[in-house]
Amino acid sequence: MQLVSGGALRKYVRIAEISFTNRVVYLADHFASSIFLILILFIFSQLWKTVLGPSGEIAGLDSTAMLWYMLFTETIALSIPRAHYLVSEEVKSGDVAYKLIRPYSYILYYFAAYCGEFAVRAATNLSVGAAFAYLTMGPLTVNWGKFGWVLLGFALATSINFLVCFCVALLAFWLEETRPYFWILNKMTFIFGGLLVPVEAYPEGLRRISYLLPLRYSFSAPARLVVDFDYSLLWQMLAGQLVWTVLLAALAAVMFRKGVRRVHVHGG
Amino acid sequence: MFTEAKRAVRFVFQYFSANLQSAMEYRGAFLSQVVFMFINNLMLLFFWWVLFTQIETLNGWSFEHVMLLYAVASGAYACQALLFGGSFTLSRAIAEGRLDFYLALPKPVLLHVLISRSAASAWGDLVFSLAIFALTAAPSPGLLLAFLILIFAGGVVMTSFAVLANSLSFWLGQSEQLADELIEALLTFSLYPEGIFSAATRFVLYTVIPAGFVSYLPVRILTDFTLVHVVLMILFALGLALLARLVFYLGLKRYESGNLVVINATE
Repeated sequence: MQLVSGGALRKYVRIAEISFTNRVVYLADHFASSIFLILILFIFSQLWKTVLGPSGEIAGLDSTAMLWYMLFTETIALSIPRAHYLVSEEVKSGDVAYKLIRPYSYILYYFAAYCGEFAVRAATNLSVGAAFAYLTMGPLTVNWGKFGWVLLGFALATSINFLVCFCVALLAFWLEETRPYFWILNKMTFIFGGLLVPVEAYPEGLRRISYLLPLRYSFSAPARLVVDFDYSLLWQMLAGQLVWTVLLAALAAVMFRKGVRRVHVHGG
Repeated sequence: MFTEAKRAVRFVFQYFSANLQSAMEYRGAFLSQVVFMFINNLMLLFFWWVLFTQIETLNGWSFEHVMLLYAVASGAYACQALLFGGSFTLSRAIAEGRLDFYLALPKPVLLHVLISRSAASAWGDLVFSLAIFALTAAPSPGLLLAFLILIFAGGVVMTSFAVLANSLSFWLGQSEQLADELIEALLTFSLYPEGIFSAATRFVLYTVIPAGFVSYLPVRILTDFTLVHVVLMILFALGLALLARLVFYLGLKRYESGNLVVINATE
């Protein structure tokens, strides 16, 4: 993996910009695909109103906070680009060989492209979803003074999600088919990421497991921080995010280095 | 008429058998799809399990009721996907002018398109549906038969709704995404208990997006049997099927061939 110097950084920022611009062209498509988010938010707005009423709480969150919490977890989940499928395909087809000779780090290239696309998807999902949540459940009280911490949490969450997906995609160097593993990851996100309810609502054993896995730090914790800012949660989340970012980045680098050795180029 | 119906049923089962054999050709892939789908559905129940650790009932719905809801909804979906899998891709076939293959053959066009595809993963939905039903209801043979009839009726409702949504392509052209969103909406609403919805939403769910007839009413029949509900269920499924058939053949008059030479294989 190449180290990122100042000049190199500009290169990856440019890649992110190109990816961003490419997605902006399809803005209408992104807004149209937010229909599913609206559907889910509508169902859960009715569910939380029925279950919690005006004063009930689950894991310290009332019905309004629960819907806004879900908006943020779903925004993260639905905005994850599908670049990792492309990585799997490139590895399987051998096209990865063409990328290896280009003057950039394969991992950082995909990370930059991922960030550019994620920004557009997240912006459309969040704007549509927030408008809906505001109309159905009312406004969310945001502590704007601490919003920088929240943004940092979301940035690290994006990195973790990229690295997790990238590591799974790199399994294609050893396995014939990686789709079932993405599928398992998707389901683990559903549970251990606390996509619908904060993991704090889980029974003790499951809560402990989710605290040990990266998904809580890339979905549940940042979403909860927006709706219910708390310094102890912030420090815990940042610690978890940093540890997992370093571990997963190291894992991705090792997997890529070992995997590339298995590539056989037969011309083409 | 009886002979014609018998011929149609035989036609459906011949295609069903061919689709199953085709899926079984890759046995490992088939089994993994079934297992993964089973686990997928099980994980959807996870949310309700967590929720019911916090509350006792949800407007009269217990966790057992929700399990029954999932058994019925996934069973109905399995019936649609296994028997009438073509209903998911009908919109694209219309917009791209791919119906020529069916028009040239001496079989009912709509039925032929619907049964020409089958989703192997839906076997996982069916196994899940039966397992959850057995676990929740400890059924007698009679109750099991009633359950199978109800999920088939639910499957007919889902298929008919999908045909209606996909037939929009006859008038709107490329409207695959719209049809997919509508089909997704029906399935999603079918998986949440009607007790959480307001009266206005429930009205919509028993009319425009008939999730009520896919899962809510069948659950009510299974837990609190009344003949009126059974008759209502069957009449609605039949009525919607006839409406879907009517709209499809009306739209077919506007169909334009794409003059495509295509291999009619699963994509």
